[in-house]
Amino acid sequence: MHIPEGFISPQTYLPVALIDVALWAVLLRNLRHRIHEETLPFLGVAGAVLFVLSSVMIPIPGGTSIHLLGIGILTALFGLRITVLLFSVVLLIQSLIFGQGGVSTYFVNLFAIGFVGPLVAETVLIFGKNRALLFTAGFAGVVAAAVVTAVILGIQPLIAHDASGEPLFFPFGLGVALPAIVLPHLIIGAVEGVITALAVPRLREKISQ
Amino acid sequence: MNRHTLLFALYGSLMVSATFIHQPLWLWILGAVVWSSAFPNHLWVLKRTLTFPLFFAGVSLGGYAAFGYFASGALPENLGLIALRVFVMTLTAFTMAKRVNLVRAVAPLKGVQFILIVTLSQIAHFQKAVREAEMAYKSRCITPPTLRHRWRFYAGVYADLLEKAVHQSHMVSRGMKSRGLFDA
Repeated sequence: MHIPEGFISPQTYLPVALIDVALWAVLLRNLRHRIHEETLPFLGVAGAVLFVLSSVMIPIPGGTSIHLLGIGILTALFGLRITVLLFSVVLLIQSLIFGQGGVSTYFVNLFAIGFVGPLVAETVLIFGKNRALLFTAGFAGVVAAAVVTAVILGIQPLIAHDASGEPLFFPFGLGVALPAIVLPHLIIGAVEGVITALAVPRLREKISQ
Repeated sequence: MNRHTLLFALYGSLMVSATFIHQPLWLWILGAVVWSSAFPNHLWVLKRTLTFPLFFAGVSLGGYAAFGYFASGALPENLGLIALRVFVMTLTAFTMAKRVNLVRAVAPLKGVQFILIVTLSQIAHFQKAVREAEMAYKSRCITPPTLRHRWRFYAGVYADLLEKAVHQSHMVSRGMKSRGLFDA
Protein backbone atom coordinates (compact mmCIF):
# COMPACT_ATOMS: atom_id res chain seq x y z
CA MET A 1 0.00 0.00 0.00
CA HIS A 2 2.85 2.40 0.80
CA ILE A 3 3.78 4.60 -2.15
CA PRO A 4 7.57 4.52 -2.59
CA GLU A 5 9.87 7.51 -2.77
CA GLY A 6 9.85 9.60 -5.96
CA PHE A 7 6.53 8.43 -7.43
CA ILE A 8 4.45 11.47 -6.49
CA SER A 9 4.76 14.95 -8.00
CA PRO A 10 5.09 18.11 -5.86
CA GLN A 11 1.83 19.34 -7.43
CA THR A 12 0.22 16.48 -5.50
CA TYR A 13 2.15 16.00 -2.27
CA LEU A 14 2.42 19.67 -1.32
CA PRO A 15 -1.37 20.31 -1.31
CA VAL A 16 -1.92 16.94 0.40
CA ALA A 17 0.66 17.95 3.05
CA LEU A 18 -1.31 21.14 3.70
CA ILE A 19 -4.52 19.12 4.06
CA ASP A 20 -2.75 16.73 6.47
CA VAL A 21 -1.44 19.57 8.60
CA ALA A 22 -4.93 21.09 8.75
CA LEU A 23 -6.39 17.70 9.74
CA TRP A 24 -3.68 17.27 12.40
CA ALA A 25 -4.53 20.68 13.79
CA VAL A 26 -8.23 19.79 14.03
CA LEU A 27 -7.95 16.17 15.21
CA LEU A 28 -4.97 16.35 17.56
CA ARG A 29 -5.93 19.63 19.26
CA ASN A 30 -6.01 19.22 23.06
CA LEU A 31 -5.39 15.50 22.63
CA ARG A 32 -2.56 15.53 25.17
CA HIS A 33 -4.91 16.64 27.94
CA ARG A 34 -7.38 13.90 27.04
CA ILE A 35 -4.89 11.02 27.13
CA HIS A 36 -4.44 9.42 30.53
CA GLU A 37 -0.78 9.14 31.56
CA GLU A 38 -0.90 5.33 31.54
CA THR A 39 -2.42 5.30 28.08
CA LEU A 40 0.72 6.79 26.53
CA PRO A 41 2.89 3.66 27.01
CA PHE A 42 0.05 1.58 25.60
CA LEU A 43 -0.03 3.80 22.51
CA GLY A 44 3.70 3.33 22.04
CA VAL A 45 3.39 -0.46 22.31
CA ALA A 46 0.35 -0.43 20.01
CA GLY A 47 2.46 1.49 17.50
CA ALA A 48 5.14 -1.20 17.68
CA VAL A 49 2.58 -3.98 17.18
CA LEU A 50 1.06 -2.04 14.29
CA PHE A 51 4.51 -1.80 12.74
CA VAL A 52 5.25 -5.51 13.18
CA LEU A 53 1.77 -6.57 11.97
CA SER A 54 2.23 -4.57 8.80
CA SER A 55 5.65 -6.10 8.18
CA VAL A 56 4.49 -9.73 8.48
CA MET A 57 3.58 -11.04 5.04
CA ILE A 58 0.64 -13.44 4.83
CA PRO A 59 0.68 -15.82 1.83
CA ILE A 60 -2.28 -15.80 -0.59
CA PRO A 61 -2.98 -18.20 -3.49
CA GLY A 62 -0.81 -17.52 -6.53
CA GLY A 63 2.51 -17.31 -4.74
CA THR A 64 2.25 -13.70 -3.67
CA SER A 65 1.64 -12.29 -0.19
CA ILE A 66 -0.15 -9.44 1.55
CA HIS A 67 0.27 -7.54 4.81
CA LEU A 68 -2.22 -6.09 7.26
CA LEU A 69 -2.62 -2.43 8.17
CA GLY A 70 -4.53 -2.53 11.47
CA ILE A 71 -6.88 0.34 10.55
CA GLY A 72 -10.05 -1.35 11.83
CA ILE A 73 -8.59 -2.69 15.06
CA LEU A 74 -7.01 0.60 16.11
CA THR A 75 -10.04 2.71 15.21
CA ALA A 76 -12.39 0.39 17.09
CA LEU A 77 -10.15 0.32 20.17
CA PHE A 78 -8.91 3.91 20.38
CA GLY A 79 -11.11 6.03 18.13
CA LEU A 80 -10.17 8.25 15.21
CA ARG A 81 -7.93 10.81 16.89
CA ILE A 82 -5.53 8.38 18.57
CA THR A 83 -5.43 6.18 15.46
CA VAL A 84 -4.36 9.20 13.41
CA LEU A 85 -1.60 9.93 15.95
CA LEU A 86 -0.41 6.30 15.86
CA PHE A 87 -0.30 6.11 12.07
CA SER A 88 1.53 9.45 11.95
CA VAL A 89 4.30 7.99 14.12
CA VAL A 90 4.40 4.51 12.56
CA LEU A 91 4.51 5.79 8.97
CA LEU A 92 7.31 8.14 9.98
CA ILE A 93 9.33 5.26 11.41
CA GLN A 94 8.61 3.09 8.38
CA SER A 95 9.72 5.73 5.91
CA LEU A 96 12.74 7.09 7.77
CA ILE A 97 14.24 4.00 9.36
CA PHE A 98 13.03 1.00 7.38
CA GLY A 99 12.64 2.46 3.87
CA GLN A 100 8.95 1.52 3.54
CA GLY A 101 7.12 4.37 1.83
CA GLY A 102 9.07 7.59 1.52
CA VAL A 103 9.69 11.04 2.91
CA SER A 104 8.17 12.92 -0.02
CA THR A 105 5.28 10.44 -0.10
CA TYR A 106 4.82 10.46 3.70
CA PHE A 107 1.94 12.92 3.64
CA VAL A 108 0.19 11.10 0.80
CA ASN A 109 0.55 7.74 2.58
CA LEU A 110 -0.61 9.35 5.81
CA PHE A 111 -3.62 10.88 4.09
CA ALA A 112 -4.72 7.52 2.61
CA ILE A 113 -3.77 5.12 5.44
CA GLY A 114 -3.81 7.42 8.46
CA PHE A 115 -6.77 9.72 7.75
CA VAL A 116 -9.15 8.33 5.10
CA GLY A 117 -9.00 4.67 6.25
CA PRO A 118 -9.67 5.39 9.95
CA LEU A 119 -12.29 8.03 9.05
CA VAL A 120 -14.24 5.48 7.00
CA ALA A 121 -13.86 2.85 9.73
CA GLU A 122 -15.01 5.34 12.37
CA THR A 123 -18.03 6.27 10.24
CA VAL A 124 -19.05 2.59 10.08
CA LEU A 125 -18.55 2.20 13.83
CA ILE A 126 -20.97 5.06 14.56
CA PHE A 127 -23.75 2.54 13.92
CA GLY A 128 -22.50 0.13 16.58
CA LYS A 129 -19.68 -2.24 17.43
CA ASN A 130 -21.13 -5.70 16.86
CA ARG A 131 -19.10 -8.28 14.94
CA ALA A 132 -20.71 -7.53 11.56
CA LEU A 133 -19.99 -3.82 11.87
CA LEU A 134 -16.45 -4.48 13.12
CA PHE A 135 -15.85 -6.62 10.02
CA THR A 136 -17.29 -3.90 7.79
CA ALA A 137 -15.15 -1.25 9.49
CA GLY A 138 -11.96 -3.30 8.98
CA PHE A 139 -12.85 -4.08 5.36
CA ALA A 140 -14.04 -0.60 4.39
CA GLY A 141 -11.07 1.14 6.06
CA VAL A 142 -8.53 -0.84 4.03
CA VAL A 143 -10.42 -0.60 0.74
CA ALA A 144 -11.00 3.15 1.13
CA ALA A 145 -7.28 3.70 1.79
CA ALA A 146 -6.42 1.58 -1.26
CA VAL A 147 -8.82 3.50 -3.51
CA VAL A 148 -7.36 6.85 -2.42
CA THR A 149 -3.80 5.57 -2.96
CA ALA A 150 -4.71 4.26 -6.42
CA VAL A 151 -6.45 7.49 -7.45
CA ILE A 152 -3.52 9.65 -6.29
CA LEU A 153 -1.07 7.44 -8.20
CA GLY A 154 -3.32 7.16 -11.25
CA ILE A 155 -3.69 10.92 -11.72
CA GLN A 156 0.10 11.49 -11.79
CA PRO A 157 0.45 11.16 -15.60
CA LEU A 158 -2.34 13.74 -16.00
CA ILE A 159 -0.92 16.42 -13.71
CA ALA A 160 2.87 15.93 -14.02
CA HIS A 161 4.13 15.47 -17.56
CA ASP A 162 6.64 17.13 -19.89
CA ALA A 163 5.88 19.14 -23.05
CA SER A 164 5.46 15.97 -25.13
CA GLY A 165 2.97 14.53 -22.64
CA GLU A 166 5.36 11.90 -21.20
CA PRO A 167 4.83 11.34 -17.44
CA LEU A 168 7.54 12.67 -15.10
CA PHE A 169 6.51 10.69 -12.03
CA PHE A 170 4.37 7.55 -11.57
CA PRO A 171 3.77 6.50 -15.18
CA PHE A 172 0.50 4.51 -15.13
CA GLY A 173 -2.94 6.05 -15.42
CA LEU A 174 -6.11 5.26 -13.47
CA GLY A 175 -6.98 2.36 -15.79
CA VAL A 176 -3.92 0.45 -14.59
CA ALA A 177 -3.44 1.81 -11.06
CA LEU A 178 -7.01 1.27 -9.79
CA PRO A 179 -7.36 -2.48 -10.51
CA ALA A 180 -3.70 -3.20 -9.69
CA ILE A 181 -3.99 -1.69 -6.22
CA VAL A 182 -7.63 -2.08 -5.25
CA LEU A 183 -8.21 -5.73 -6.24
CA PRO A 184 -5.52 -7.25 -3.95
CA HIS A 185 -6.72 -4.99 -1.15
CA LEU A 186 -10.19 -6.50 -1.35
CA ILE A 187 -8.58 -9.69 -0.03
CA ILE A 188 -6.54 -7.78 2.56
CA GLY A 189 -9.70 -5.92 3.59
CA ALA A 190 -11.60 -9.17 4.10
CA VAL A 191 -8.75 -10.63 6.19
CA GLU A 192 -8.47 -7.44 8.22
CA GLY A 193 -12.24 -7.39 8.67
CA VAL A 194 -12.22 -10.93 10.10
CA ILE A 195 -9.30 -10.14 12.42
CA THR A 196 -11.00 -6.90 13.56
CA ALA A 197 -14.27 -8.72 14.30
CA LEU A 198 -12.52 -11.48 16.25
CA ALA A 199 -9.80 -9.50 18.05
CA VAL A 200 -11.51 -6.27 19.13
CA PRO A 201 -14.02 -7.71 21.66
CA ARG A 202 -11.28 -9.77 23.28
CA LEU A 203 -8.75 -6.93 23.37
CA ARG A 204 -11.33 -4.53 24.77
CA GLU A 205 -11.81 -6.89 27.70
CA LYS A 206 -8.06 -7.15 28.24
CA ILE A 207 -7.52 -3.40 28.11
CA SER A 208 -10.32 -2.70 30.56
CA GLN A 209 -8.88 -5.16 33.13
CA MET B 1 16.32 23.70 17.94
CA ASN B 2 19.03 21.02 18.04
CA ARG B 3 21.41 19.82 15.29
CA HIS B 4 19.30 16.77 14.42
CA THR B 5 16.15 18.83 13.93
CA LEU B 6 18.08 21.10 11.56
CA LEU B 7 19.58 18.15 9.64
CA PHE B 8 16.12 16.58 9.44
CA ALA B 9 14.76 19.80 7.92
CA LEU B 10 17.75 20.06 5.55
CA TYR B 11 17.42 16.51 4.17
CA GLY B 12 13.65 16.94 3.95
CA SER B 13 14.08 20.08 1.84
CA LEU B 14 16.64 18.28 -0.37
CA MET B 15 14.07 15.59 -1.06
CA VAL B 16 11.44 18.17 -1.92
CA SER B 17 13.99 19.84 -4.24
CA ALA B 18 14.65 16.55 -6.04
CA THR B 19 11.01 16.37 -7.11
CA PHE B 20 11.33 19.77 -8.82
CA ILE B 21 14.43 18.80 -10.83
CA HIS B 22 13.78 17.32 -14.28
CA GLN B 23 17.34 17.44 -15.70
CA PRO B 24 19.36 14.23 -15.18
CA LEU B 25 22.65 16.14 -14.75
CA TRP B 26 21.33 18.11 -11.75
CA LEU B 27 19.87 14.97 -10.22
CA TRP B 28 23.27 13.25 -10.54
CA ILE B 29 24.94 16.26 -8.86
CA LEU B 30 22.39 16.24 -6.04
CA GLY B 31 22.89 12.48 -5.60
CA ALA B 32 26.68 12.91 -5.49
CA VAL B 33 26.46 15.70 -2.89
CA VAL B 34 24.10 13.68 -0.70
CA TRP B 35 26.16 10.52 -1.03
CA SER B 36 29.37 12.33 -0.09
CA SER B 37 27.62 13.59 3.05
CA ALA B 38 26.90 9.98 4.05
CA PHE B 39 30.63 9.27 4.67
CA PRO B 40 31.77 7.06 6.49
CA ASN B 41 28.52 5.10 5.99
CA HIS B 42 28.39 5.69 2.23
CA LEU B 43 28.73 1.99 1.32
CA TRP B 44 25.96 0.95 3.70
CA VAL B 45 23.72 3.71 2.28
CA LEU B 46 24.42 2.64 -1.31
CA LYS B 47 23.78 -1.02 -0.52
CA ARG B 48 20.45 -0.25 1.18
CA THR B 49 19.45 2.02 -1.70
CA LEU B 50 20.21 -0.60 -4.31
CA THR B 51 18.40 -3.46 -2.60
CA PHE B 52 15.07 -3.39 -0.81
CA PRO B 53 13.34 -0.10 -1.83
CA LEU B 54 14.58 -0.06 -5.41
CA PHE B 55 13.27 -3.58 -5.87
CA PHE B 56 9.72 -2.28 -5.41
CA ALA B 57 10.34 0.77 -7.59
CA GLY B 58 12.06 -1.50 -10.14
CA VAL B 59 9.00 -3.73 -10.43
CA SER B 60 6.83 -0.71 -11.18
CA LEU B 61 9.27 0.91 -13.60
CA GLY B 62 10.02 -2.45 -15.26
CA GLY B 63 6.30 -2.89 -15.83
CA TYR B 64 6.16 0.59 -17.33
CA ALA B 65 9.10 -0.20 -19.64
CA ALA B 66 7.45 -3.43 -20.83
CA PHE B 67 4.10 -1.66 -21.24
CA GLY B 68 5.69 1.13 -23.31
CA TYR B 69 7.74 -1.28 -25.40
CA PHE B 70 4.77 -3.44 -26.37
CA ALA B 71 2.56 -0.40 -27.00
CA SER B 72 4.95 1.62 -29.16
CA GLY B 73 7.97 -0.58 -29.87
CA ALA B 74 10.27 1.77 -27.92
CA LEU B 75 11.13 2.41 -24.29
CA PRO B 76 9.22 5.32 -22.68
CA GLU B 77 11.10 8.62 -22.95
CA ASN B 78 11.33 9.60 -19.28
CA LEU B 79 11.99 6.14 -17.87
CA GLY B 80 15.64 6.95 -17.09
CA LEU B 81 14.71 10.25 -15.45
CA ILE B 82 12.05 8.63 -13.24
CA ALA B 83 14.43 5.82 -12.24
CA LEU B 84 17.22 8.32 -11.48
CA ARG B 85 14.92 10.46 -9.33
CA VAL B 86 13.71 7.45 -7.38
CA PHE B 87 17.36 6.41 -6.85
CA VAL B 88 18.51 9.87 -5.67
CA MET B 89 15.54 10.30 -3.33
CA THR B 90 15.96 6.83 -1.84
CA LEU B 91 19.68 7.55 -1.39
CA THR B 92 18.82 10.81 0.40
CA ALA B 93 16.30 9.04 2.64
CA PHE B 94 18.84 6.41 3.76
CA THR B 95 21.56 9.05 4.23
CA MET B 96 19.12 10.90 6.46
CA ALA B 97 18.31 7.68 8.32
CA LYS B 98 22.02 7.23 9.04
CA ARG B 99 22.90 10.83 9.91
CA VAL B 100 19.82 12.01 11.75
CA ASN B 101 18.74 10.75 15.16
CA LEU B 102 15.00 10.70 14.66
CA VAL B 103 14.17 10.78 18.37
CA ARG B 104 16.25 13.94 18.83
CA ALA B 105 14.93 15.43 15.61
CA VAL B 106 11.35 15.36 16.88
CA ALA B 107 12.37 16.71 20.31
CA PRO B 108 10.27 19.91 19.88
CA LEU B 109 7.16 17.66 19.82
CA LYS B 110 7.31 16.03 23.26
CA GLY B 111 4.22 13.80 22.93
CA VAL B 112 5.36 12.43 19.56
CA GLN B 113 8.87 11.92 20.91
CA PHE B 114 7.53 9.90 23.86
CA ILE B 115 5.46 7.58 21.68
CA LEU B 116 8.35 7.27 19.21
CA ILE B 117 10.75 6.16 21.95
CA VAL B 118 8.35 3.52 23.30
CA THR B 119 7.48 2.31 19.79
CA LEU B 120 11.12 2.00 18.70
CA SER B 121 12.06 0.22 21.90
CA GLN B 122 9.28 -2.35 21.45
CA ILE B 123 9.63 -3.04 17.71
CA ALA B 124 12.71 -5.27 18.12
CA HIS B 125 10.95 -7.19 20.91
CA PHE B 126 7.92 -7.99 18.74
CA GLN B 127 9.99 -8.70 15.64
CA LYS B 128 11.98 -11.23 17.67
CA ALA B 129 8.73 -12.85 18.86
CA VAL B 130 7.49 -13.22 15.25
CA ARG B 131 10.84 -14.58 14.02
CA GLU B 132 10.96 -17.16 16.81
CA ALA B 133 7.36 -18.23 16.14
CA GLU B 134 8.14 -18.67 12.43
CA MET B 135 11.28 -20.69 13.18
CA ALA B 136 9.40 -22.90 15.62
CA TYR B 137 6.67 -23.44 13.04
CA LYS B 138 9.17 -24.40 10.32
CA SER B 139 10.91 -26.80 12.63
CA ARG B 140 7.61 -28.61 13.26
CA CYS B 141 6.79 -28.99 9.54
CA ILE B 142 8.61 -31.82 7.77
CA THR B 143 6.70 -31.24 4.53
CA PRO B 144 5.63 -27.77 3.28
CA PRO B 145 2.44 -26.78 5.14
CA THR B 146 -0.82 -26.16 3.32
CA LEU B 147 -2.14 -22.62 2.89
CA ARG B 148 -4.89 -23.37 5.43
CA HIS B 149 -2.33 -24.41 8.06
CA ARG B 150 -0.21 -21.34 7.40
CA TRP B 151 -3.23 -19.08 7.84
CA ARG B 152 -4.07 -20.75 11.14
CA PHE B 153 -0.48 -20.29 12.22
CA TYR B 154 -0.50 -16.56 11.37
CA ALA B 155 -3.86 -16.12 13.13
CA GLY B 156 -2.22 -17.59 16.25
CA VAL B 157 0.80 -15.29 15.88
CA TYR B 158 -1.43 -12.21 15.58
CA ALA B 159 -3.52 -13.15 18.60
CA ASP B 160 -0.34 -13.77 20.58
CA LEU B 161 1.18 -10.45 19.51
CA LEU B 162 -1.92 -8.48 20.47
CA GLU B 163 -2.06 -10.12 23.90
CA LYS B 164 1.66 -9.52 24.39
CA ALA B 165 1.11 -5.86 23.48
CA VAL B 166 -1.46 -5.37 26.24
CA HIS B 167 0.77 -7.13 28.78
CA GLN B 168 3.90 -5.28 27.65
CA SER B 169 2.20 -1.89 27.86
CA HIS B 170 1.25 -2.56 31.50
CA MET B 171 4.89 -3.46 32.21
CA VAL B 172 6.22 -0.33 30.47
CA SER B 173 3.66 1.82 32.25
CA ARG B 174 4.57 0.40 35.68
CA GLY B 175 8.29 0.74 34.94
CA MET B 176 7.86 4.38 33.99
CA LYS B 177 5.64 5.12 36.97
CA SER B 178 8.12 3.55 39.39
CA ARG B 179 10.81 5.85 37.98
CA GLY B 180 8.61 8.88 38.58
CA LEU B 181 8.11 9.75 34.93
CA PHE B 182 4.50 10.79 35.43
CA ASP B 183 5.10 12.75 38.63
CA ALA B 184 6.18 16.01 37.01
